[in-house]
Amino acid sequence: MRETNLIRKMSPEYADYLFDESRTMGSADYISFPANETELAEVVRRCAENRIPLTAQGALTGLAGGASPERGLILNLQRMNRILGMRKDADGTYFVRVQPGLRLAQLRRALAVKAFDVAGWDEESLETLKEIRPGQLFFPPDPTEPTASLGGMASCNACGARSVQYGCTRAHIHALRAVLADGRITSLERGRERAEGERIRMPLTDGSVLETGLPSFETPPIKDAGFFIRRDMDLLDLFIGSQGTIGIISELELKLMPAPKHLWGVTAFFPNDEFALAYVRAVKGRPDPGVPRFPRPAASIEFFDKNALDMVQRQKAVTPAFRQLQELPENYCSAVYVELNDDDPTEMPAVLTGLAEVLKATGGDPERTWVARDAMELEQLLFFRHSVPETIDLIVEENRKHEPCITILSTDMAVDDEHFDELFHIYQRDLQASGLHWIIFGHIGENHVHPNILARDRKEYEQGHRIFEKWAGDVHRMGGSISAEHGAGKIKRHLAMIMYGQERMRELYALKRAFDPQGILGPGNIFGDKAFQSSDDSSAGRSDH
Amino acid sequence: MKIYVCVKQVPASNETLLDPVTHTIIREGTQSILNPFDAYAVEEAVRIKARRGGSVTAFTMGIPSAESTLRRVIAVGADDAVLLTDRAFAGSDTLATARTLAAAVKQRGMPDLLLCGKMATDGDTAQVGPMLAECLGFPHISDVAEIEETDEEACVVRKMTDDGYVRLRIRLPALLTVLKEINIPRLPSVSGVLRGEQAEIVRMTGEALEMNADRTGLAGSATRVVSTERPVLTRKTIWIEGTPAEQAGKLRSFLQEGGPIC
Repeated sequence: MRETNLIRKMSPEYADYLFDESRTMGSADYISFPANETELAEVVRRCAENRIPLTAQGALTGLAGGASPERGLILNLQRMNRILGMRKDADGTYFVRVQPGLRLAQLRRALAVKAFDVAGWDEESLETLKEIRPGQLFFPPDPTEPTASLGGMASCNACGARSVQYGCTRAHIHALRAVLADGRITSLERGRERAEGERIRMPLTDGSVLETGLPSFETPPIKDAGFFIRRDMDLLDLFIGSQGTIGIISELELKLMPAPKHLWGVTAFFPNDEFALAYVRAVKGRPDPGVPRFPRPAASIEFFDKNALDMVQRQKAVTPAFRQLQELPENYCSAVYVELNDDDPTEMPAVLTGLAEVLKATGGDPERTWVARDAMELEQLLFFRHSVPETIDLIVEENRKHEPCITILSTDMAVDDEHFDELFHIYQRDLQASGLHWIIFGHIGENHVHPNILARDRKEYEQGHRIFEKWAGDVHRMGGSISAEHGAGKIKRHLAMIMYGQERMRELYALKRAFDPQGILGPGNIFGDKAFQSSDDSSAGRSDH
Repeated sequence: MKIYVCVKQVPASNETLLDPVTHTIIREGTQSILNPFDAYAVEEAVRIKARRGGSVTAFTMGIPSAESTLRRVIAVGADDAVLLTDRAFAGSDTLATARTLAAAVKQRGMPDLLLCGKMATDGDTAQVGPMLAECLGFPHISDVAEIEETDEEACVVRKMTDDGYVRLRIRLPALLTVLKEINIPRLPSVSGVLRGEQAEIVRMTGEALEMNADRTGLAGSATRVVSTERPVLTRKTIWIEGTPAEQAGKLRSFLQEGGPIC
């Protein structure tokens, strides 16, 4: 492919674009940094003409290797980071239009202080902006990493801590535009363009229509890993979660919500995991007999096991940035963080009184807790939460120095409430028997904690993958999902095969190929297993896998 | 050991509103927090109490709503708290504030150790702590980075100076002002917050302190703020974007075209 200003040959200065936060090392021949949808479509068209595979990148914060390129072209969207406008609908709901490279932190800040670059905004957007106050609106998804891009969050349907109350990224995307594999563009809105049963007739902006059919099955209701498939579904949902394998999202319209007036939280420490699980059941509104009801619905519920707490404690001694972390109480085992919001801060003492009763009834201790009563104190609890994945990053980076094949080995499998305790005990049993270095932390509110294996050599790394495969089978048996929020990407694509089986993966792959006949989009994402790819096609895309 | 801590309620933001007439800070209507430096003094007091036993009492002079700040201090381990509030205290400069606090301390009974934060984030004077020590006739050490040892007789502390640290021993009773590096202030527990909410906050007025009107408030202040103005921000940030090579190129052009370091 000819080099232009828009498409450059790879060179060592672009080495940082070959891997994401999971440390999955990729390779690429070209790189491009389009600044707008027209340039993006131009790059995709050039790739299609030359049968060059391409991998979209947002902020490279993914944990499953979705943005790590497998040859071809890196389509980095970091320059497409503008907020394009806003509007209010007849119901009083506000929407904001953004480019996919915009980072979550940038959107949050713009909304919090009402600072927008309005160049090029239309009249409706400017009028809407006049109506809103700083901090009035917020975008609820909170995937822990605030530097994540909105396009990346849509691409893997990121969930994060607050999805207990607000749902995943998908629930907050009202409309999107996407560039298809031949450079044509589609513009889809929730409720407007829908499948008719299993039939898809997707209108494109050039007046043409893409016709195909949905797979014969629906994806599990417990979170969606990769594709989201339903009869009569909104067509934009095909692009959310599918990790750049059927099109590249070029614009998103996000639904905003009124910001909670008073956000606060409590971290409680427990002498053993069983007590912590009993507390979590109560917080989720399913208290054990004799345990009082939790006084409020929680906005998020997060779990930390002893290994996670110990790990951060050790890191605190060597990482200056962690010095300000709170000191852990003596004889801690596990901890549970619950975030709450109220319209009236004066209600907090009454809620805390109820919370203390639940703690006492579940084996906790109201003295062994951290309460964050306002935004500044909450920052400290969130900092602690964020220090866990940050520490994992540091350890993986260190371990990679001796064994470059090592990546982050983090799972985000999800099951329903009925099966969660069983799955949790399977995690613990298998990890304890493994002799590996491991921790369990994360979004217990929606039953997708993150067991992480910190492999120290190739043998441990491979052993970790085998444990994940075993769990994928367990989770499949329980009717759960192998990836609730990180996406299958490259690290977990073999788990997608375990969850769906070969036949269903073939059906999903057929859907992908209907959108991407040459198989150039997102090579290696979700469909990594060679077994099903040999089934139905003979185009150039196959050689990319 | 009887430990007193002096704290102050300050505006949460440094976008402070100034009264155009008196040039003092307008406190009503802005969100208030515990002065961040004072949180370290409170934490140190609570830690010493945990090691040596005794009690921790917090004092603040302020408007009635400063009570909420005292409840926060009780939530993290202080035993009780005293709010000095009276119209007569309004407009106090650092000396009048120190005199008023000294009067309250004397009335509550002399402590073994008095701790203050290094300074308040609104006034930035760092004067009230040392002045309070003088009013009480206590020896004092400012800018304490660590309290190494404490017994009934004395404290051994590490004090930060312009040239490094000095190790000093101070006879008790004494006053220390502490730096941020001394500890990590804890968040309150659920029980702590509830204790804070239920606590009885002692209120004292100028009359209760038996202070003459010319010793406190604007009338008792030795200094007058003649004028205040907001500093004009002249710094500008320029973002250079692109790949590392592009950024370096743009930076070079910027410097060559008369940027700051030619």
